[in-house]
Amino acid sequence: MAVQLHHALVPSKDVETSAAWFSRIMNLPQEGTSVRLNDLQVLEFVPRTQYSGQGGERHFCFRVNDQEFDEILGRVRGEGIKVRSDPGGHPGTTVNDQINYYHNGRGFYFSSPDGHGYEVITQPYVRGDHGPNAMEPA
Amino acid sequence: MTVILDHTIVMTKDKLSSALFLSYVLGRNYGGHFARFAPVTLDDDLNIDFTDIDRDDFERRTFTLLVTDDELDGIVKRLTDERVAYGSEPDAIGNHQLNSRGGGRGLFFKDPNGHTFEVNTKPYQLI
Repeated sequence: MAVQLHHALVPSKDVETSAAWFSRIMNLPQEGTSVRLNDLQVLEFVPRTQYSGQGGERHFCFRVNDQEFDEILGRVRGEGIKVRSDPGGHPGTTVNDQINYYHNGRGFYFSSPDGHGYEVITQPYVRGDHGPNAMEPA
Repeated sequence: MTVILDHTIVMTKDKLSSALFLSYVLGRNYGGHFARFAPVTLDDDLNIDFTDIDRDDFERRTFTLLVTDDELDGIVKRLTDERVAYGSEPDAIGNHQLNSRGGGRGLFFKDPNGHTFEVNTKPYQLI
């Protein structure tokens, strides 16, 4: 049995610019207005008005290896974007320019120029038998 | 370089309705909550994390999922049995037809919170 994501849509003010920015930050191949994450998965940048309706901010989390993590973090900071160690919704969380060490790996959050909330991690979340504070470090 | 999409958060008025619905249509069991989320885990380890938001104008999302031929047959049967509308195009949900994108078979349906899911048996080329 295999159900896998093929593509997801990301609303953008300018699809060419948004796809190029994401391709550059993540060092991933751009295919027109899409960016290929791997052999199977594609993010397709679409005009905000075309499908998105309310144009809200989206959250996508990407899992990468340690070297890729360092390179992505370097490019994000190189563009002057401040990262944060926790999602913005948590009480007391600010743009602290820090990474986290949750789930036996490393991670950070940052916002795209289109206002989407991206997260980069090196280890999958430990999603097992956790309570309401499962987002917090073990 | 390979990047894996690990999870994405999807807003709802009723997260359980979306999580239970999608789990059922895809032919799997709902595994319970993760923190404030109602997740549906796909076979590439992507978690679609449904979560509630206290407003009506949350953004409706679209996801395209790759499935096997057997799974597509099961999805069509469950949608049909439950009288859930599906169709060959996102703006033709209700025609109860399949499309042949990429030489495969595919369809679109909406979940109880208005999110659109497409399933297809072939990874067709995006334009």
